[in-house]
Amino acid sequence: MNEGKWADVTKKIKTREYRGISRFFRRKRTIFGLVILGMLIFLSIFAPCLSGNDPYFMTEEFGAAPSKEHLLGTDMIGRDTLSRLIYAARVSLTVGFGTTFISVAVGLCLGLLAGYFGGITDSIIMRLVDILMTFPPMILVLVIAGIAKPGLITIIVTLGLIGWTYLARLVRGNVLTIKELNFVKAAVMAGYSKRKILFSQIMPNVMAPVLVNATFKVAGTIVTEASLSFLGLGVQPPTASWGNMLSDAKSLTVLTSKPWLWIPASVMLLLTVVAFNFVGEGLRDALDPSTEME
Amino acid sequence: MGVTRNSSELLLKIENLTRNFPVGTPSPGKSKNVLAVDNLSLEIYQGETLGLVGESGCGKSTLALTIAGFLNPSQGKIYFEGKDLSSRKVRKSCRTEIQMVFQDSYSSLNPRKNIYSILAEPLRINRLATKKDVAEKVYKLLESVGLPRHYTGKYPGELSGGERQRVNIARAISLKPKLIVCDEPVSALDLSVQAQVLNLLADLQKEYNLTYLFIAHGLGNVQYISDRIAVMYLGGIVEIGTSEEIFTHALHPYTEAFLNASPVPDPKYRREIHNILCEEAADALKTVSGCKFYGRCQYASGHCKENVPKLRFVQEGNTSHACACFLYEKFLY
Repeated sequence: MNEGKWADVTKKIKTREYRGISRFFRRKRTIFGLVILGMLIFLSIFAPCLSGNDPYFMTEEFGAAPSKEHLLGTDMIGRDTLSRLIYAARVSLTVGFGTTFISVAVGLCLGLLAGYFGGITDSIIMRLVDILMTFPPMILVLVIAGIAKPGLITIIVTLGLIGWTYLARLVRGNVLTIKELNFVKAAVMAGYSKRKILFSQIMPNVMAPVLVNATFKVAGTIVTEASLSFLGLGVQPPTASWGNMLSDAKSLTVLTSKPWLWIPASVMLLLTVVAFNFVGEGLRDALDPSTEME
Repeated sequence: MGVTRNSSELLLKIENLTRNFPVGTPSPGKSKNVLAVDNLSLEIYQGETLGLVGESGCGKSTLALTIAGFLNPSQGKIYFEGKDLSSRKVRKSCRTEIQMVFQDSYSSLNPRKNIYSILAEPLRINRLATKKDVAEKVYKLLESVGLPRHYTGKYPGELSGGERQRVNIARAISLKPKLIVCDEPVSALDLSVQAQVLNLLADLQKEYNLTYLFIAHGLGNVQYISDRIAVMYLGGIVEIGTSEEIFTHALHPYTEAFLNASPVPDPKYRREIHNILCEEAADALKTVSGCKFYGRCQYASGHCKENVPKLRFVQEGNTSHACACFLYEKFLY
């Protein structure tokens, strides 16, 4: 019995899951993305051990060029750029994942409800989506950041609460198709409750596009956070963020003569966004065979 | 194959059922309706198989979905064991007693669930199995539809069409229903598998005392499995009778044409072809005053254009064979 069960399990992995997994790893870009992401997560977790210097400690050398002591130099008020860069990865990933988590939770729930129940529920939720979508997101965030106390939590909650609209639409559309399928009819005839049909029959079938979309969303959010911090409305100094590190480069002297202050942060931002997008693409290929790669 | 019947064995009674669908943009005064099912009455008796045939778009599936409760009748009533199904409470109480097997076996099974949970969950929800014996019951169900035990770990995508349809049948019978509406259950399968699934359905009928409403667009399968056959045309039944009556002396011109249109494998037994329909089916949107078959019927007369023929018994004393055509009006009772 036990042996038979294991044979089943291995066979299952070989056939169904294996195909998905091999599709996921087929592209070199996906692996590249995964490696970068792994490194970023590693950096964020072990930030205190990896960065030799305190990111908040001000040395007496202001805007010093890279040296043995400060590998990427120091910023305009004498803090070690490398440690700030590493600590900023923490902030970016927290904002990216936190925001996406809130957006997915809200978007998934509202999308499921709108798609399944239709009628007045659908109208109310979708009009709310329309209203939120008419505002340019950047402006909305600026206003909220202006009203509320700017900071990490504010950023996460604000971006999370306005970023769910596209996800809700995506989920609703999928639910509309799925709820007409025969297995949902069969579930109705078998006496399943509405809650059970929605969450155990329909929801698992919309998770694939949601997961793909969420991955892309993390990348988008990190850029938005960086832009806000660049404008001074996001993460507040002294907390380091790639965005507020870049804001140093607003001065022409820094831009032209102190590249160690802005190149590393830009490169990190670029790498992170690219990595998330590559992983997202890989996931899309693995989960949705209809978008076959060329 | 005479099915003895009296009213106590009546399982499902459909009375003057009409179901229409609005078409086009709903603007006041201009709304058009398609009559998918038009004033249809039908009785299904306990333990029989009623075959329902008709060309595409004649309303077979609408009728099936209405019986199963996914569409509400526009007019008319459906009685199940004498209870009026239009009441929500009644419908809920006998929800599991009417099950359906669909044509598309793939979309009938949740692709994210394995066969075990597809079969076990309905049992658990309806308290037909306890935690201890649920696995045993699932294996038994699989066995009764001829699938091996180790299929429980598989996902629908790994099964062939015939196997999936077997799982669908297993799920349908798991809740001990009285009526199973089979909406073209074998049409998407290849011929040898069709035969296996039909045999399975016939065996299960004997074992569990099931009643089938068997919908098909072709005649071969229906002849094999049905006790009685109803021929449907544009939302109404034009002829109904025992399988033998329909195949040996069909009366309605449409039934005749329908029989002629289905190919016979052996050329020796090929029917003499004399009544083939050339015209397309009448537009379901147009309301016709007379017989709906008027435009395509080679026997039609002026009388047919004005009046609607009623479904009437063909012989006095014979309560099985009925036909709706003016050609036979003088013998009809």
